[in-house]
Amino acid sequence: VSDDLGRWADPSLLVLASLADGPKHGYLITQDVEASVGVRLGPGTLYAVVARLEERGLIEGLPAEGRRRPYRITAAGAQALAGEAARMRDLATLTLNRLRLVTP
Amino acid sequence: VTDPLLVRVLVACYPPTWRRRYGSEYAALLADSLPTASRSALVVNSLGGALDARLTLMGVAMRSPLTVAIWAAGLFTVAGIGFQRISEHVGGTAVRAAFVVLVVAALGGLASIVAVAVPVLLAMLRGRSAVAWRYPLIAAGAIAAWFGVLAGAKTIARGHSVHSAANVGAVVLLVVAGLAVVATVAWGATATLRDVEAPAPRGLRSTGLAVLAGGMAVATAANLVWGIAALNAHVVDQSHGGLLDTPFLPAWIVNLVLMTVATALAAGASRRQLNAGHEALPISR
Repeated sequence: VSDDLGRWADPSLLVLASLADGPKHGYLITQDVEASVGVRLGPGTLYAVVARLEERGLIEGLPAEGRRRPYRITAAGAQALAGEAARMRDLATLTLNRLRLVTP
Repeated sequence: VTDPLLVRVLVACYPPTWRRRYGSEYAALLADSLPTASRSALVVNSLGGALDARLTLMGVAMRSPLTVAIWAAGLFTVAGIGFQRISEHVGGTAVRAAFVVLVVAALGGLASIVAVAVPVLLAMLRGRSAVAWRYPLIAAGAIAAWFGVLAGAKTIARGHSVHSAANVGAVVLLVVAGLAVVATVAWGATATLRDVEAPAPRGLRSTGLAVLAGGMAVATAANLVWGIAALNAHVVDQSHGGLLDTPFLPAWIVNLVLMTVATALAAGASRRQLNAGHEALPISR
């Protein structure tokens, strides 16, 4: 995901992580991301990411509920998110271990 | 506080194909977000998203063989107009055959890309996409405006010598305006083909692009033969009279290079279209 989406990688991971526990429409995604990690995704940013993730088959739109359309993560999206999470966990572990060596 | 007008304006900033897919739900998101978000931050963010959507769509379109072919045809047209200017002062029977071959091949090639656009034109005439008429109208307006620039350039240059600042300025004005017109027409054609969903019959697009590239290649070869024949026969009029006179050899070489580049672009587009398996996909995909 990181290599493919360039500067959209970080908000993409936030959206994928938000959808990991169930489908949500745009406004719920922004609310969830802000409540979970304190990042406010603007509507332009959110839909730039939604369009890219949908085009790559990482999320898919569900039938609209009124004017709001929920999205859910696909199997490919879940796999990509798991891969990114594992990579970040390894990096975090490495970083914390090395900082422990130099921190008195 | 929801502002329906602001929501409509922000959604309208996105390209039509994007709006067809996401417009309604995006409007709902904006309406939901406005009461709690900073209004200025939301506007800036939405405009950034619209710009991104337009750039993304443009990037996709520029990867389309038909779009590349249209822009190659535009570049070739610029070269063709330049050739018409430099050939005005070249006489003699030795170059006539090459001249005729060049003109016929160029017209045949350019006619083929018009043929590719026929299904789109028919769809527009049947009223399938009334909004798309704005693109040909803009292109026609740009062409009409160029004739206005021409009249102005003639007024500026009248009574001045060939190498005077007024004359050179008028020529530069004409050339820049001409390039802008060709670019506008090419953009209009691309936008029309993108927005009007009228897939060309199977094979028409592949055949059209192949004929375009072939015609341009023959015309470019004829240009080479024509120039060499003109130089060998010493039939080039080297006088410096007239608004757009330039020395023959540099002008011809630049002209030949432009045609060669346009032909290479069209040939690449034709090859990619053939490799795509004669698919008749809308330009925006």
